[in-house]
Amino acid sequence: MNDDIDTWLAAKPLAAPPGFAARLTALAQATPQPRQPSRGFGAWQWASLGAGACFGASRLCEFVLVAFVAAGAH
Amino acid sequence: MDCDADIGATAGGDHLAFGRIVVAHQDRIFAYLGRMGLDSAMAEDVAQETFLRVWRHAGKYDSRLGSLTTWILTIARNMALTRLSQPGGRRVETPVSAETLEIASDAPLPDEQLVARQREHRLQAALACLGAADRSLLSSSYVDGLDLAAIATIEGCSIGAAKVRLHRARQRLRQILEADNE
Repeated sequence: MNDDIDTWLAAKPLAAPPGFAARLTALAQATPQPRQPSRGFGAWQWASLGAGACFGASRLCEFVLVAFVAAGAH
Repeated sequence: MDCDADIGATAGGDHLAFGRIVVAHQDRIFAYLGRMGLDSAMAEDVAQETFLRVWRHAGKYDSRLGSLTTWILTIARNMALTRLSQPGGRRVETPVSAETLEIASDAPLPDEQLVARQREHRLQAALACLGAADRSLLSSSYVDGLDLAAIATIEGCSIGAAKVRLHRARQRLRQILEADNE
């Protein structure tokens, strides 16, 4: 019985019809591939964005402080 | 044949590389679908959908997660299970009697051939009694060059679970065939 099962399952009950690959290749040509989604931000990108924001904020604070001191001096 | 290079080229839109992938895998996919109990028309539909999905999502293939064959078979399995679960998607196997075989045949079959064909039909009917997931497991275990780890990946279970399920599926198949003989 085991031999029967093995023989039948090991045999290939179905094969690809003739011209299947050629037909699919032609079909693929007519099927657009979706555009790969752009990758999300990586860790280093978040880090550089954060550093840029900190730098910008510190410059803004510096500007406000200088303006305040200058206004006080007058 | 460097299928990893071909899948990379396919992701870039190279349809000739895609054609080489289809040629390299089509027979294994059809044999797998045939063992799953799909008839030739349904198998062709499912194989076509499978390969078109490979074309569209070639960029998502990750060789670190398994071979290209494993990836394509996983897609084919999911497609086949979906198809079989749809209404009218289940192929009903009916055992064919010796008389029917004799009538259907143009030339009289020698006894041995007739017995072999009856045995084949009995096996098909017994396979149809198994659940689709068990048929998939049995089918993939006969795909050339697949080890148990690849089979487990296709079936989405651990190697140990695949081993146990495979053993049980074969046991169940044997029981069905023995009950049929009595």
